[in-house]
Amino acid sequence: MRSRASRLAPILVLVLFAALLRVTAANPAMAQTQSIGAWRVDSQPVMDGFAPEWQSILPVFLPTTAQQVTPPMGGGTVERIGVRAVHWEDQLYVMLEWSDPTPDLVSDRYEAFTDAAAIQFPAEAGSEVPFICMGQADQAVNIWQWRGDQQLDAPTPPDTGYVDMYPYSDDLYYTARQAGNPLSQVDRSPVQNLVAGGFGTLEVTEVGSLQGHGEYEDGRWTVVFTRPFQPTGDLQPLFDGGTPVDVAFAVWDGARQERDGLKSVSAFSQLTITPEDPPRRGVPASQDWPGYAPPNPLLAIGVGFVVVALIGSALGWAFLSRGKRSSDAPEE
Amino acid sequence: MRPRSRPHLPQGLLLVLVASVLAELFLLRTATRTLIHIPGIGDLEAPIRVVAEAGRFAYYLAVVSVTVTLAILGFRHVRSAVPRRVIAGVATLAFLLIATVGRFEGVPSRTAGWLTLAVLVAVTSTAWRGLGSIPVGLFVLGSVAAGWSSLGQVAGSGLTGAQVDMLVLAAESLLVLAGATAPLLLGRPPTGSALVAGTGAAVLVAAAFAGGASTFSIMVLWNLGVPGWLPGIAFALAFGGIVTAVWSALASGDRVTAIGIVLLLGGGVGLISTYQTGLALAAILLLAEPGTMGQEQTVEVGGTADYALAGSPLS
Repeated sequence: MRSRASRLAPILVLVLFAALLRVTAANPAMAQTQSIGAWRVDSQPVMDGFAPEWQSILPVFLPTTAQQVTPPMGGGTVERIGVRAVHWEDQLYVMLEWSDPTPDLVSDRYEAFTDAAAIQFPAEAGSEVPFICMGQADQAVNIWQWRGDQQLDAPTPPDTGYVDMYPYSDDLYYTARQAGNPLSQVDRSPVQNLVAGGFGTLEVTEVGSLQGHGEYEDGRWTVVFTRPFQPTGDLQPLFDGGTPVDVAFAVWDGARQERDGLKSVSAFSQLTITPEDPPRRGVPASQDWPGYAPPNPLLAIGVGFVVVALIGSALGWAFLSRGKRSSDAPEE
Repeated sequence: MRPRSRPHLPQGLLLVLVASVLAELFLLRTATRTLIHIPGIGDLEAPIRVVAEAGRFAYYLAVVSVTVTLAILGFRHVRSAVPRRVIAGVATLAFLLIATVGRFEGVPSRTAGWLTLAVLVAVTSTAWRGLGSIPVGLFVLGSVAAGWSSLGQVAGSGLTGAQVDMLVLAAESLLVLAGATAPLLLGRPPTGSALVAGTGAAVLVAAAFAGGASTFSIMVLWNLGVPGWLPGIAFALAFGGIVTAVWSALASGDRVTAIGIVLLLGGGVGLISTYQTGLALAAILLLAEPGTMGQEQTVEVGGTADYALAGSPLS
């Protein structure tokens, strides 16, 4: 009979080996999530996502769901996002495309919200993916957010009627601008460069070389983001050809009251910089966006019916078997 | 009625595996993401880091444990001389090879993904045992649909958006059906207490969905790899089925079935990582062990034991 120590020895070896892997952060598992290729192109990509050079690239579609982790929770009105990515002269370009019945570019009232899109990367490429909602305390994230209302030029006053005059031009009298509110700046960019290390820690950082541009056409948004491989600040990922970078996406539909945490989010995927040419379309683009169609309720009802029928059968089986056992039992 | 046979594995390996998977699932994937809702959590950063670190260690332990488990099961199947067990064993060892080579980028991730799906289908086919295998079959079909929606977008001509929607919805529906039919894994009617527990769990989950307990729902949905397009009641029924099966298995001493179901849950549907696919593969092999109703242990002509010549201790 083996001693207790010898029986436990294999388990102890497992524990020690796991500890060694943890200490060295050598993750033996391989991610198998959706892979998005950032393909090589020969000329500088344009910032219009509807241009043929973008549209001819085969997109990767990512299902999205409502953000349901931290208040305000909800959204999820956009069913999926199409993603394309290319690189040119050490500059990464990512194009998002999604279906939206209305362009919402003005958030000039309390109840008016703008369409927006965002890309989230881990601040540092590592062996572990941070929590998708703003990262976590020891794993920060870098977020690029494009907002429709920030791309819109300043509204033009009407030709007729009165326009309130504000005599001061010094920033001191524009309190939000003076306080550094990025939405109040005159030379604001359509994109914000954000970093976060958990809920409630999101903050704006220097935009640096990050750029973004959105276009709306035929019930669809396209937004192109671009940034050099080399980051210009802390907590921003370095893109290189060797290491896949985890990436997640979110979009907001302003007309459906989506803002802040109310949005449609994807799970993390992996973005890989590749020297290959982009795959071009083999299927008609018209089949990509058949319009917003929530999951078929008949299918849901059908699934529910089958599930209830199966559970009913199991219950019936249980009671019948029990009854049979009782009748088979010898009488005392 | 016998409980499912225990496979020949080093003593305690399965317990370490299931314990580490549960710890990783609840500490790393869930707790570190939900503790933020506790008021005043900002003052408790150190405890959160401890929980996260414990979860990370559990993850590494689970990866090592499932690798060893698959290696042992694979070799034992190959040596069994029963054709379908040999096929399952070869496929299992092939998966370990793919995962290892793929980790060092020796094989394109797309190729590794398709091969992984092929392994899942092959092992499930060889382990098919009729009615009791239906939940596993549904789960694997869901994995194929989810994996296809991912891999099919970058291979060949690609999928259209509508086709991707259809595959993702199919994966989610099959996952729900697999959960709801989980009691079939028992090979016998569930116990009365298990039915009560399962019904209670389903009611709780349904109430949670109806009441907007969103943290619970999104954790379950993201951890399982589906977007949650079906109504909450479908997931409630699936969860009820799983609780019924696990409870009944434990009550009747059928630990292997309970462990198999937990590993399937930890694995999730579709291709997420080779670790999670490994959990699903280990679960399929464990749930193929005989001992359930209509699956009596058999001995092949020539004296070679089929599926575990079961009943021997875990040593």
